[in-house]
Amino acid sequence: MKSLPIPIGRLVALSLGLTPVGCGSAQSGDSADASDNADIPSGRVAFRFHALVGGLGLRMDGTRYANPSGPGHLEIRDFKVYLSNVALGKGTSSDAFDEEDSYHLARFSRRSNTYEFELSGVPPGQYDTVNLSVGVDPSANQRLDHMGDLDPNNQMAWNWMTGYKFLVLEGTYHPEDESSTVPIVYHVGLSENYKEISFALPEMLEVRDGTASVLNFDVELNELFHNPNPINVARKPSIKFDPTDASRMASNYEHMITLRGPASPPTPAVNPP
Amino acid sequence: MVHPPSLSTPWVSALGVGRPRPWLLSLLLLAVVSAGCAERPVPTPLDGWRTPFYFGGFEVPFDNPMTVEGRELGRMLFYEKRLSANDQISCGTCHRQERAFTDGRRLARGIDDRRSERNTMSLANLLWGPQRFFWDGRAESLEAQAGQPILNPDEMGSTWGDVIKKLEDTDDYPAKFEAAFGTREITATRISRALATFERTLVSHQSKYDRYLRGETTLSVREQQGRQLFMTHPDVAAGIRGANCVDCHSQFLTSGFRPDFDGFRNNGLDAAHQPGAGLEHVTGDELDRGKFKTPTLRNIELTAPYMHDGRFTTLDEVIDHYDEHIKPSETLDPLIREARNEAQNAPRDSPSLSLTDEEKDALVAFLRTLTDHEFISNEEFTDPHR
Repeated sequence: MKSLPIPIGRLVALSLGLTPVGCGSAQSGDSADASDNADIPSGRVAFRFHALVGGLGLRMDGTRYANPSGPGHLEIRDFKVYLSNVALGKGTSSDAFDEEDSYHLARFSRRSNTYEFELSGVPPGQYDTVNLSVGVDPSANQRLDHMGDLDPNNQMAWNWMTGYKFLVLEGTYHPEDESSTVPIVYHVGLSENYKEISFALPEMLEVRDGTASVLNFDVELNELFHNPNPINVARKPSIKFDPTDASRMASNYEHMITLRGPASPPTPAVNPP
Repeated sequence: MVHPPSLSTPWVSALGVGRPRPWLLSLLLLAVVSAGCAERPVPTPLDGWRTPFYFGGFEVPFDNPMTVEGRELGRMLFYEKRLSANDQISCGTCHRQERAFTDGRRLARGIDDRRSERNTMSLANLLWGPQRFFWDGRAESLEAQAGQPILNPDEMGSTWGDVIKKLEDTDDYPAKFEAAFGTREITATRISRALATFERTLVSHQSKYDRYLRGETTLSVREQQGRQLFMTHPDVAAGIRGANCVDCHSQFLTSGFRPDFDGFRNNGLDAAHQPGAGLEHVTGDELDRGKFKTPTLRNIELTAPYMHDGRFTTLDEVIDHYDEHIKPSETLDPLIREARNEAQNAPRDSPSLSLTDEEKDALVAFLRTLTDHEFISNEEFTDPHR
C-alpha cells in the first residue's frame, strides 16, 4: 500500500466566538440575518423537491417497488443527493442570480420524502430559467475544508482522495422467487459525473421585494434505472467506484429531476420582527 | 492499494489551502445569557475555547450557553457523590477520565453494585455526531441525558428532591448555582444544564491522528494503511480494498452521523433481537430493531470492553467480528452486508470482508492513533473535590 503525502498545512483550530450579552436584553441567534442589508429590496424563492417512485411519494417504510428495469422488487432505506450551484436566469443573461456557496444536501428519510431550501436576497425581477447541478463541482470536490452541507464528517464524504458521493441510494433487492435478498448500494460520485441542469420556467417567475415564491420539483427514482441507460437492479445491485457504471447512472440522474409547473404565486413575507 | 480511478488530484492536497470560516462557528454560538437585571451575577461566556476546524460546526442550546461558571459547576456535579442515593457514586465513578470516561467493565455497575445491561459509553466530542444520547438514543439532548442516571434505580438511584436538598445543605453549591445561573436556586433543570455544559467541554483533539491532520506529524506506513482501509468502502469491481468503517464512523470525528437517526445502525452482532431492542425502543418502529448508537472511536484503545453490551474485550475481537462474524438480520446495515473484498468469497447471507492479518493489524494501528493522552490527563477534567 502506498502511503499518501499529507501536506495538511493548517486545519486551524478556531476560537469560538461566544459573545458576552449584557443584562436585560436577550439576543437571539437571528442576528445572523442582520448581515443581509435590509435596505436592498429582495425576495425569496423556495426550492421544494419531492422524491417519487413511479409518480408516488417515496416511502422508506419497507414498501417494495417493482424493479424499473427487470424482475423483482426493491426496498429503499436511504436516498440523498447533492444539489448545488443554484442560479436564476433572466432572458439571455443566464446567471442573473447565483446563490453563493451553493451546496445543498437533499436528504430524504422515512420521516420526510420532501426536501426544501430557500434562496434569499434574490433581486426583484422576472426570471425565466432555473439552473442547478447534481453533485459537487470539481473545485469543491477536491477540498476538505468545508462546513455546512459539505461537512466531510457527513455520510457523503467518501475517502480523502475521492471527494464526495453525489448520490446515495441504499436498500434491499428482493428477487422474484423470494430467495436470498441482495443489498443495494449506489454511491455515485467522481468529478466527471457532476451534471448541470437547466429548467425553462413555464411562466415567468416574478420576484418582488419581501415576497416568497415556491418552485416544486419532482425527483423520480425510477429514472435512475432506465433513462437513457437501462440499469437492472437484479444484475447491478451496487455501483461505486467503477467509472463506467458510475457514469451510466450519472447520465440517468441528469434526467431524474423535473420542474413541476409554474411557481406558486408569491406570498407576502412574514413581517420582520 | 489501488486508488479510486480517474482522480487526478488527491483530495487531501487541498487541505492546506482552505480558508477556515470562523464566523460560521461564531454564528452558531451566539448564545443567550438570560440575565435578568443588574444585581444578578452575570455568568462569563466561555471564551477563547478552541475546537478543531475539521470537526465542523456545532450548536449549543440557546437556553444553556457555555459559561465559565456553568462549566465549573458542572465539573463539581459530575464528580459529586451526593447525586446518588447512598452518597457513594458520582458520574465519574463509571466515567473515569483515565479510561476516556469509561469504567473498564463489560457492563456498568450502579448503586449497591447493581448491574446495568449496558456498557458505559465513553465521553468525548459530544458536541458533534448524533445529538441523541444513550445506546438507544432515548435522550434528545445532553441536558435530557444528564439526569437519567441520577434517577435510574440501577445506577445512582436517587430522586431530584433528595439531590436538591443535599446540595442546598452544602456551604458551596448555592453560591455556585448563583454564579452559573444568576440565583441561588437549585433545580433539576439547572443541575442537568451544568452537567451538560461540562460534558460539552470534553473535547479530545490531541491524538496522533489530530496532530497528523494538522500537519504536525506523520503516520507510520502501517497506520496509514489502516487509515486508508478505515476510510474506504471496498469495491471488488474497481479493485479497491476497504474495511468500510467510515460507512458508519465519520472521517474525522469517527462518530456516528448527526442527522435524524443516521448515527444508529445494526452492525450484525445478533441474528435476532428482542422486540424493542435498541432504537426501536425510541421510535417504536420495527425497522429500527437492533440498531444502536455508533460511538466515537476517539480513545477506543482505552475504552474496552466494546459494543453496547461489552461483549468484545479487545480491538482484535471487534475487527474479527466485522471481518467474518456478521450475523444477518432484517435490519442489518446494507453497507455492512454488501461490503466485500473478494469477488466469490461468501454468499450474501454471511458477509465477509476477507481482511488479511496484515490489514487487521493496520486497522488496529490506526485505531491506536486515536488515543489522546492529553485528554485523559487534562486537569480541567479531573475531580475538583480531591
